[in-house]
Amino acid sequence: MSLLGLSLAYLRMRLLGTCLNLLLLALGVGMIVLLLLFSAKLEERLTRDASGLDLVIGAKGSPLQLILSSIYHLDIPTGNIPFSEVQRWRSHDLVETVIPLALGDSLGGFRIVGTEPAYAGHYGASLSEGRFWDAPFEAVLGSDVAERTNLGIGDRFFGNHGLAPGGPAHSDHPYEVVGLLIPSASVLDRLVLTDVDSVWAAHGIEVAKRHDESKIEPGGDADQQQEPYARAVAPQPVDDRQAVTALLLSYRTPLAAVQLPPLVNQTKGLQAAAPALEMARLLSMIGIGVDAIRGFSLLLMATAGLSLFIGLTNALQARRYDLAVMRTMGASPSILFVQLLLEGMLLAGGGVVLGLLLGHGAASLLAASFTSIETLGLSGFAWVAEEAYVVALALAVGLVAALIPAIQAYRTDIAAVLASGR
Amino acid sequence: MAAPSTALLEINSLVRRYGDRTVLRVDAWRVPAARHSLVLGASGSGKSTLLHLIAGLISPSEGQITVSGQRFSDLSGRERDAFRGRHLGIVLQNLHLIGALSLRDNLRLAQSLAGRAIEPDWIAQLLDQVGLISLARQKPEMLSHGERQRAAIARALVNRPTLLLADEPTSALDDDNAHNVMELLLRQATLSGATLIVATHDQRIAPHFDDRLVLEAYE
Repeated sequence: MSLLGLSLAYLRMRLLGTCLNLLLLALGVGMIVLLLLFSAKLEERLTRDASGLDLVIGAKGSPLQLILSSIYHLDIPTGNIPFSEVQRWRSHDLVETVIPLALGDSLGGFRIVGTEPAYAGHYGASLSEGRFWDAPFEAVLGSDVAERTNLGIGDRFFGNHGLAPGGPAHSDHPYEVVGLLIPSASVLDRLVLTDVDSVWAAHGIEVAKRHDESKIEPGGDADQQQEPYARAVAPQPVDDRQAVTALLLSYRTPLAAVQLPPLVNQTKGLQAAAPALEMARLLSMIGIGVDAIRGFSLLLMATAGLSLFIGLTNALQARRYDLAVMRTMGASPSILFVQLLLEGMLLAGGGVVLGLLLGHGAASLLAASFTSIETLGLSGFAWVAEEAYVVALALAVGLVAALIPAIQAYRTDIAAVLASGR
Repeated sequence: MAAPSTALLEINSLVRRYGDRTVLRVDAWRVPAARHSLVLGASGSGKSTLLHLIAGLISPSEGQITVSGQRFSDLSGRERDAFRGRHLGIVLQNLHLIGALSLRDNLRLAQSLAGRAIEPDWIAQLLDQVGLISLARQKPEMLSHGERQRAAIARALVNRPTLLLADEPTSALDDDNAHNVMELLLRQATLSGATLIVATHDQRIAPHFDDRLVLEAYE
């Protein structure tokens, strides 16, 4: 009968208290772990979606709204800007690339984005099937869109006006699915990509014919279509109403970060928003909520520690005679100290294991239940380094909670306890 | 002239005080090995205190106690604990067994705390000797008072002590049961080769012993 066996026997003896202690600690650990997993994935996703994009140009309004609507496709756009701005900024010396985005329609809640193949190229997206668009009303579906709508190559669909599901359908302009993207764990998974012409045409805006050299050769398989965007050329404006929603820019030189935003902001109707700045602001806003939940979780862990302390102190009182008897059998005070400490650490260790299972289990459950969370890449099988700190913290809580009862056990006056007879 | 028999327990000029109050005084007492002895005295005469002193659970205010040739005053606290575990067996007045453990595990724990290897066969043999082998997996709460008494004796003997101490083992028993318990204690002590010292105020068991120490109650 080892001390471990004895400690387990004592924990079994007061099963209800043991279970409650375990549950409290597991809840605290589980919530923090879930929060860590969620925060890590959210930050990773936000960073990845904005990666390589130095500036977004759009209509005046909230810069955060511009970033949310044009990079993450989470908010409504601030408005439109003239299509001529595409050529203007594309020819600027400080600008490396410009990707236009034309928003306005959706398919079952997924946004239809009028753009250039360079947009897919920016995220390193490749096709699992088919090809990129070659003509108006040809569309390429992100992996989540394809899965949720059950659309495949050759299928047709109508876009709905507006960005929310259920808007009026553009029933005179059907799109044809010509390509499917493989999952990229980026915003592309949730988008329907087509050319800017299609968005204009769907809204009755006259469209110029493309130059021949901008066409992608049809008939190639998916492997041959990996880098079609290099040859794409933006449509030429022929109608004053031709407009885009936003431009995604990357700088040619770091100097652009200083010079370009003021230049854009001085232009009538335009605003510049830096994704890095707005993302930091967004994360800071999200951080307030995250901090609140983290604080609550820490409070739960502290409560668990207190409960552990009370449980062990009560157990010690009920077990004073046991300890005295153990001393008569040759146990040193150190053995009693270790036994109580071991009991606390077993509870803390059990709480940590349960908490980790709970946190990761909840992450799996949330990912399975909510598509928006699944698309974040949240998974119960992923681990983040910060979990090690949570484990250490929970074990420290157990250690501290068990320390005082253990010291009391160490100092037990055997003769007095034996004389008391109970 | 015959050489004096080896003393398993030797007490000289022993005094125990609590503050200014003297609760026990034993000028000299020798208990030879394998000789069973009785410590007789009324309540408050210091019987339990004497057993605690002999077990090294408390220290004398004055005087010396030697068990198996070892003076407790020469040992550190840790050494005293280890010595107690290996050489002494104690049957407490209330027979306290660890409630979280089965009978068998109570005996295993006693061996483990004494730093001995667990001897499953010896434990089974001992439980068999006291008639509890069929209850080895039962928790103490499932046992009758008599069964707990036998279990406590088995536990005290599991480390093959040279000295077995029993504190008021018959105080709450009727004549028949008191007789049975004494028979069991004496038989098991003899079987184990242990020297038995029983502290009691129960005059009924006095006839079982030739050797006795009578304590007077202090004011």
